[in-house]
Amino acid sequence: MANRIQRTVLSVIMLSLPALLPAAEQDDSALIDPRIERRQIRESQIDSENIELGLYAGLLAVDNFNTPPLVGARAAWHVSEDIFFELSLAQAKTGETSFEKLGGGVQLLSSDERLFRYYNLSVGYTILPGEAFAGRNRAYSTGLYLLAGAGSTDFAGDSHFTLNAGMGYRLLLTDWLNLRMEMRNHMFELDLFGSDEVTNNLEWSFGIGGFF
Amino acid sequence: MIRRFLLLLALCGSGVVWAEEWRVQIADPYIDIHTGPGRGYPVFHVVEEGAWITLIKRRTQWIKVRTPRGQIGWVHRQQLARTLDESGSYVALEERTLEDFFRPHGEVGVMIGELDNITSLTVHGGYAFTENLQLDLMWTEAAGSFASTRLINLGLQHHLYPRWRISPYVLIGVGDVRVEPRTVLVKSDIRSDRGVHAGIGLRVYLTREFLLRTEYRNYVVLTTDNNNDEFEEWRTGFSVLF
Repeated sequence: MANRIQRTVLSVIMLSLPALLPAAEQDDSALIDPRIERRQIRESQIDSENIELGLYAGLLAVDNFNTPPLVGARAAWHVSEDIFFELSLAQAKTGETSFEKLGGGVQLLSSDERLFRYYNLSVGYTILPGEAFAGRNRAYSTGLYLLAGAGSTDFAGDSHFTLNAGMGYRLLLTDWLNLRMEMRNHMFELDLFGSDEVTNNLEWSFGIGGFF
Repeated sequence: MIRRFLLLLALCGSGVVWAEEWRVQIADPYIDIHTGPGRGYPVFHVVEEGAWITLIKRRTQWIKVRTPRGQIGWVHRQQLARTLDESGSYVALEERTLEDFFRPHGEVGVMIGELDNITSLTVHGGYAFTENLQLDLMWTEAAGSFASTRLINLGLQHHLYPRWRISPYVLIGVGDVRVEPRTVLVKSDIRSDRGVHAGIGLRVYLTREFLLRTEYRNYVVLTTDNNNDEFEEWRTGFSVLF
């Protein structure tokens, strides 16, 4: 009985084999066809690193106030080897004006109003790209760039339209990790002392960033 | 067991690396390998026709490659266009063109302008569903001598002739208008009202993925007073397609 079932099953398989065979043959030929491994390449498939994110810290010389430490973060988008667009946010806590120190107990601003906070959007242009050499065998990509833009500063209880301009130096430690040093001037109108006057607030900062 | 797990991990790791690296064959007589991703960086190596190079990553217009001898350097994308991939066809460079603006796309940009005689800054992002219609979310700040104004607007743009290089559009939208008087002047309250706006604009296609946009907007602030406030804004800026 079992023998007969076996025979039936086997004969069914044998009969259906010719139908399965072409498919099997195709699989075999695919295995030895070298074209199976070939891939078409489009530019977008290559991993791109045009976004740069970073943190920075430094000193901000606030006009008429003191020079407090400053911390900030930045994100940049590199459009070409020369041009990049950058968004930065930073804050510093200012101290007393000379007037307040001499005035004895006079307080012009509350504690919250002493917080100097800015954001800006800037365009950067690398004017002098280059390489720096450390010893005989080590070379780092560098770049001296100019930066200018506009933004807003929250200080003394109000927001002020702010223009900024400056320059910086970028040194790439590895392909993606970089160090930078920057000097920037943040200019805005302040009417804290009665009349509108343009204040120049110089920032000097060091930063670390990476390309992603 | 642990060893096998580590081996598996290493295999996965190498798999990831391999998935990101591509090999191309040079079709020009030779290809220049620069030390850095810029035109000024010196050419320190040359790879000849027929050799295979590995593509590691790209930054702006430069591609980092590994040569058959293991040297690592940068190649300009124009030279990459003269290489063949494993299927024997030239590597396809992707250039953004005006055509990309006729397909659904996203757009981000910044603008500078004048809102009620005060310098204003705008950051915006939008999505174009069709070649005619685009939805925009805009955030505007204008800090003046008497008050600082903040606008958050949602608007709809309609391009009248979307296939023109200089394309006019009309826009309407709603938003929130927040007016904060200067602390030095008066201690009055911060006002926040709903507003509607309408405007016209011009989109100028520059190059690659860049656009120049100029617009005029008229805002009506729906205040709780008897009269609605009305003000206008001119602004111009650039945006990027993605």
